[in-house]
Amino acid sequence: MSNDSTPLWNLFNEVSLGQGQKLAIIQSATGESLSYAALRSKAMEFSEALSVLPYKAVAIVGEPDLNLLPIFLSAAQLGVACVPLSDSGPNEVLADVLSALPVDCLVLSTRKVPGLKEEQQFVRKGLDLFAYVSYGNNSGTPMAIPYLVTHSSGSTGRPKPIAIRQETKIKRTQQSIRLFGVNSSDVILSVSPLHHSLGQRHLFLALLTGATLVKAHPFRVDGWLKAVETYRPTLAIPVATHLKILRPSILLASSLLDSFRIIVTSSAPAEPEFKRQILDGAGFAFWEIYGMTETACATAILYSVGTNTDHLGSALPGTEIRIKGQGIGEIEVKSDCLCDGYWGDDERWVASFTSDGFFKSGDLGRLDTNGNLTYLGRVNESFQTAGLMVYPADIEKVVLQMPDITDCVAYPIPNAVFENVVGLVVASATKLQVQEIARHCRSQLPKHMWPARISAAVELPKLSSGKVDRLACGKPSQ
Amino acid sequence: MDLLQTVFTTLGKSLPESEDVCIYKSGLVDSFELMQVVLELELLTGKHLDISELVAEEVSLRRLRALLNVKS
Repeated sequence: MSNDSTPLWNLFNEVSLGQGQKLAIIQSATGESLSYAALRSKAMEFSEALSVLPYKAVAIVGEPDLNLLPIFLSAAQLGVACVPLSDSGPNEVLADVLSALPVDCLVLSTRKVPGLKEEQQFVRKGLDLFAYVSYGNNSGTPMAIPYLVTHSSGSTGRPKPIAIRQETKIKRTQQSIRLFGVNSSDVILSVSPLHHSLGQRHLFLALLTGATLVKAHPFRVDGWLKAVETYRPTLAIPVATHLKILRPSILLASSLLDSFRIIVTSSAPAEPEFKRQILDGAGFAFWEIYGMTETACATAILYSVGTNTDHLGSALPGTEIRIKGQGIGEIEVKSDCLCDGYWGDDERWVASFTSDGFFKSGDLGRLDTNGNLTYLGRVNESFQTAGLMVYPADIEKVVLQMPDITDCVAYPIPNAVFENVVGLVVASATKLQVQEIARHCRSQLPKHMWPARISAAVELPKLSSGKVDRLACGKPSQ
Repeated sequence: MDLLQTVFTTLGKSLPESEDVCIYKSGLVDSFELMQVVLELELLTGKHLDISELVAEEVSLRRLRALLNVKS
């Protein structure tokens, strides 16, 4: 069933035939595993079941277990779209996302989805899930069927259906393989869900190199530590939030990370002080990357002890980075690993570009004279107070220098006189002295960035990607 | 120590000579320093001060004491 239009399947097929009984995926919580041969075989079984159905897309709602996960590869084999979705949001949001897809879709869900028609023909073969049909809107220009459709997280408002063809996914994976020297002897630890691009990156890094993927989703400190102890991973790309949560364990016993040859932080940049702490005890290559689902990696930097940890490195080969305007501004990216559009939303995709073809990231940053990028938060997170611009990332960077603080978010509190005042919510493992935080900010920040309201929490709300849910943080009573 | 004296000392400021001088209009504190005066007062007293309402009138020590219901 493979052909030139299914290059990702072809590549996986080749790798899996070479790896045979080697473990491809291990579910760390249960110890269940799939060899490459078993994964290939199960994928082909799914392909048979799906090939008799009329759908051009398969949506997977909720994190697939090892029985369902091979369907990612079946989709590649059949040339249909694979649309992994979170099951943690409200049904209305899920229904909106599904109804916005341009084609009819088989929906396989770990939970009941009210309002969808049940699909009777799909043979579940013992799978514990619900099968439905979602009808596409079939409006607008018909477009090619992509392979992966990843919806951006709720932190950016209306989810964007980010479409990636098989060729593009291979190219992006090869970019990471080259950058991090990934090979079949690697054991890759992932705590990210498969509806998130980071979870997909871990998956395909393993499956297209012959490495072993250890899935430790959902992230929990004890689960992560157990997975590290049991499976001795060599590579992981955790989000900075997860690393920060693990910080006490890591700093207490740096030998914990002995098995790693490489750790990459991503998604939300880590604070310079934290990176310095990790580096002091690191026996592994410690990277940070900047990018987004639309662009893949745009910059990367390999830190070493004593080097500047403030910035995120310079543009990778095949990528151009620039800042809109002078000094601080929106980061604009041109990349040969760019995604293939927003599926069924051409208008929004076109609006995401400058007139000369740079993707507007929605992130704020600045470039130094060597082309190194410093990330300063989201464009829509910056705000004015008394006529001056506030960049929350600058405040958060300073607050996170304080010991025991695990997370913080600076946000605007609307004010009739000053337009906004600066709010700050802080999470800490220990009881916080708010006065100390205020004093620290006053000593380290320009006065218009001094928080005027400070609240404390044991933990900040998180998105399923592991990133802090900034929208929810800005909602406490003010 | 007097509550307002404590706050002003914390912020590296001197108290005005008069209880009736507006600390904002007189330039003793600017907008951002005023927000810190409010923050520190709130942290010490557990009471809430509305910054917009506060600057709608003179921000004197006497008024702050009255709003917080504290004596000099």
